[in-house]
Amino acid sequence: MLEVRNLVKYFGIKKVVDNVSFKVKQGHILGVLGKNGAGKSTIFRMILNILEPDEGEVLYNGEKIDSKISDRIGYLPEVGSLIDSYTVYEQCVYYGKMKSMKIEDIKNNMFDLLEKFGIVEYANMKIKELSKGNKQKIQFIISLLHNPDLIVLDEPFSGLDPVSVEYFKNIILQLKEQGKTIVFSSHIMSHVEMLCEDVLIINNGKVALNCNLEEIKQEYASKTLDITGKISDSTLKQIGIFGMIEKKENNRYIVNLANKERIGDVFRLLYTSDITKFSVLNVSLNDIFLDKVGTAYEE
Amino acid sequence: MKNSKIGSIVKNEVERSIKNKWFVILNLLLLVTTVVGMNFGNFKALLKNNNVSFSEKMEIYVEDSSNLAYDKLVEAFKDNNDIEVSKKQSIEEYKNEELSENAILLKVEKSKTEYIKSSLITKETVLASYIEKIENVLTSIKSTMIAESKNLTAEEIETIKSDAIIDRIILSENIDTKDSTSILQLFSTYLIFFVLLLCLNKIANTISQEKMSKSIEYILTSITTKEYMISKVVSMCLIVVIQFIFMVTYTLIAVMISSLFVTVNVDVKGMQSVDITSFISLKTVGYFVITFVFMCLTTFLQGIIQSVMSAKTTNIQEAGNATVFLVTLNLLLYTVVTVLVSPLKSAGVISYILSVVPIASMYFVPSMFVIGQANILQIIISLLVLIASLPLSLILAQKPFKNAILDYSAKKDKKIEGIEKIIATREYQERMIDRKESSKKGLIIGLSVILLIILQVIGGLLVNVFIEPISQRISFISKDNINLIFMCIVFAMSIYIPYLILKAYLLKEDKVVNKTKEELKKERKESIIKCIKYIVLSIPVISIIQMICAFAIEKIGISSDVTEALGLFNYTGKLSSILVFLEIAILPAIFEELFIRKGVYGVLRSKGAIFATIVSSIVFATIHMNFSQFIFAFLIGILFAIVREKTGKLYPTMILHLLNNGLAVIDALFYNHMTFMEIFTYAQIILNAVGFCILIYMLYKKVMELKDEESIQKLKEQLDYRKIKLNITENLFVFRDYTFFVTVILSAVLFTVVERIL
Repeated sequence: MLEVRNLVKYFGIKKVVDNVSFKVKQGHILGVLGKNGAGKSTIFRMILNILEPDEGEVLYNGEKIDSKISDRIGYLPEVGSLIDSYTVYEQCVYYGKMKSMKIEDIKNNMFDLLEKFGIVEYANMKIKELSKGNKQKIQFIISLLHNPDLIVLDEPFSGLDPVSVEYFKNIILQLKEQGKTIVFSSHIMSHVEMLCEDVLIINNGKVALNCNLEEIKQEYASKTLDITGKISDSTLKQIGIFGMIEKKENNRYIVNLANKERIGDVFRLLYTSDITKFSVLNVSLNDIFLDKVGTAYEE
Repeated sequence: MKNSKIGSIVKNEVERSIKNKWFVILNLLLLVTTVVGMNFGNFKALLKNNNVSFSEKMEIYVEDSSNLAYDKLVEAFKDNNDIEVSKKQSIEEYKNEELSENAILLKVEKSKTEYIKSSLITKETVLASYIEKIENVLTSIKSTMIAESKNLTAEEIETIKSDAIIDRIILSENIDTKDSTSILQLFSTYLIFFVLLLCLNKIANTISQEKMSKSIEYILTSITTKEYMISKVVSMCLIVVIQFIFMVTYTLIAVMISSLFVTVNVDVKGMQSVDITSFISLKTVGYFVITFVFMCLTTFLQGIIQSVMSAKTTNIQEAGNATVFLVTLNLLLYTVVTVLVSPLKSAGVISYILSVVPIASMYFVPSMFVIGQANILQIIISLLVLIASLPLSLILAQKPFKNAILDYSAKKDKKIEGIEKIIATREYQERMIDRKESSKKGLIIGLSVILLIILQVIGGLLVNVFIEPISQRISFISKDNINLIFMCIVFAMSIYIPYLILKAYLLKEDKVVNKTKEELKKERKESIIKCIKYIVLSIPVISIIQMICAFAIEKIGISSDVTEALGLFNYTGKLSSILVFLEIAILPAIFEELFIRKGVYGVLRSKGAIFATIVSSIVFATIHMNFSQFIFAFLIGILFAIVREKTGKLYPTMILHLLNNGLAVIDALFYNHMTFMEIFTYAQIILNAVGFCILIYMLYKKVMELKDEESIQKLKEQLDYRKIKLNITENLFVFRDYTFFVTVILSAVLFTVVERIL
């Protein structure tokens, strides 16, 4: 279990990370969402002990992360961390050695992973000959090379085409099934929505939202009704007691209930009216963000 | 576990740099240069003796009336198979016939005063070495003849001619031969320097590469920055050790080859060698050990410094520049050590001090040891200081290295609260761009002025050097005139070339085409009238400025007469008068106006009229390179800039410039033609008077206008507008560039030099 406690980091006089705490359970995926410059990468760098936090601490299974524990952590840095003049194999050896691996293990794991991604032919190519998407794949392979328990992925989907994104997503889900703990960041909301159970939204270095995605969606979704049909004014008045009514075109109404227990009451009230559609709205993460932070999320 | 990680970095680093093809190429080159360098004399001797000549056989025909030269010549050319020397009764007959290209006719006679006299005839030029050899033979004959006549032996003559011999004796044990030590000393410093450059470059490259590729992000998850730095420095030291071992091997190979030469080709003349038994002695072994120890430790120290500097880089260009500091330092020390430490003189205090200072000690201690000027105590002290500096530098380097290596942003702004908001405004960014542009303008103007001054000085020197040989060949023009012609060319070129630089940065004025012919005609007419008006108005102002300057300079007490300083009174004759007029009046009027009023003023005009006026006047005063002219040129520069601004044309200032300079020249040239001078003076007075009257009239009109309130308001607005344009703080960024200071310093130096010469 990864536990982050009250992290604070200053760059000069600017507070980049402001009292951030969260937990990730074994075998769970945490998506960290935030705009560019929100402080995601800084938090990750502090988790990996590259930067020292000014306040707070990071614990993995109750231990402070040092160079010994970091052998069990896989990391995909935000910006390409590959050296152009190395071949893929040399790069794997260089970084594998940094994780105290043996040459044989590095070779075997590298080929297994290359086969998994379908890019075995790149093993002896130089990094500079690869495309941006392929570089990202190699980085991903390197972060998995030493079979880590905790995988930290900083913007894994940047520079990838939709097919590759799907591919990455499947592999991440496979890793989750193997019981790995995964933390990844993105500035694109849909990436977070499609992958993870837990979500952490960072805004200006502060935690704006930290919750289970399914639960919060349940909570928000069940409160909003989308009704289309001819409803008399008296009925509307009665519904108005349960929540706010927003009138749209073509006899469409959006009802924001104060309490989700009232869905049934509303349904019962409408049974004399001529209703063509009655649905409980599925709220997107964006709406939640809007509600919690106050402003819309900009990507 | 950590150690294995550091070990793997070191291993990877060393492997990669040795497997590199450039390492192999470089080492091959080093091997060749070492062998050739240490056996240079031998190779030369070998090549000389097995000379394969592709030229045809040379024949030397000697007519020898002295009966001395022939035998000696035959002996001298004995080794050269391609030369045949034969004796002839008279070479006159050969001279008349068609002379072959490969024949040399030599006539040698006895002479009473010169002892020996000879003449040499060839069809074309022949190899200088043959002529040299013949000359040597004749000289030696001459020596023998002198010896005979003065009753001296040939050896005594040789002794008289030869240089004095100085034997240097060093009173310490184990003195090697002088040759081997000096070779060792020279070679060792070169060797150290070379290896170190290699190593510094390597460390700079690898650190910046890993930082720029952000590979460092990944590596630092496994090890700390301190361990990373140490691993890099250690790997560099290892590379140095390997390279050093290689180079020692090369040196030994070179010595071996050198000794082979001696054993195999004993009969080859001119062979020198380093005796292998004397080379491998206690001293040389000690030398290599000391060099090795100092080199490793110093590499570690320099590696730490270099790693901090490289950690700060954020792009390839910076990575290259990061090595400049240490490379320059090493080059400097290398030069100093070759100058200061020599087996021919005892070491000074500076050498002893520098031999204790870390980094410098690497160069000084071994080379002082090898020539027997460093004792054990000194070596130990140097070593201790060096060792003590290592942990200290490691501790000091920690923090800056750590801060720098994770900082990817190229440049940081000062940390002031709320700076982000100011930076984010468009005005701020525009102002920054404007400042950069201003600084660029300063650079361009500074560069062009430096170029101008340098061209003038170099041109003047060249003219001085070549005037003699040229004037000897050209007889129809006098030397003075040739000098004048060249000075004109130098003057014109030295101003026109810098002007071309400025021209590239001049804004092109948009020409308005949508006007009818008549309108254009009318406009042209108006502008001509305006120009004439300003010319006439300026004449009395120039006179006033002249008077003020003459007065001021007299008070200060500097010789003011420029015409006298230039020596104008010395020129008489029609051609020289015209040339002087060209040099002093016409060329400056054209080229100085182009450079200053069009170039400098035009480049700076966008910064405001007043600013451009002042700066162009300063530059105008500067390029005169003469203190007494400085104030005058400055004031005249302001006047001309105003005229340029008001008329928008260049030719009025050109005419004014011509008038001003021309009058001075005419004054100087015709000072003894009384009638001409009288007419001339009257003309001057009349012109001045007319101009003065118009000036007063204009002023009067302006004053009358000012009574009107509306026009006062207008004038005030105008002044306000100019104030905004002036905006001093922003414009001063023109001078922020260093070239302007260099210009000022350079011209100040040249001021004094030129004044001294004059």
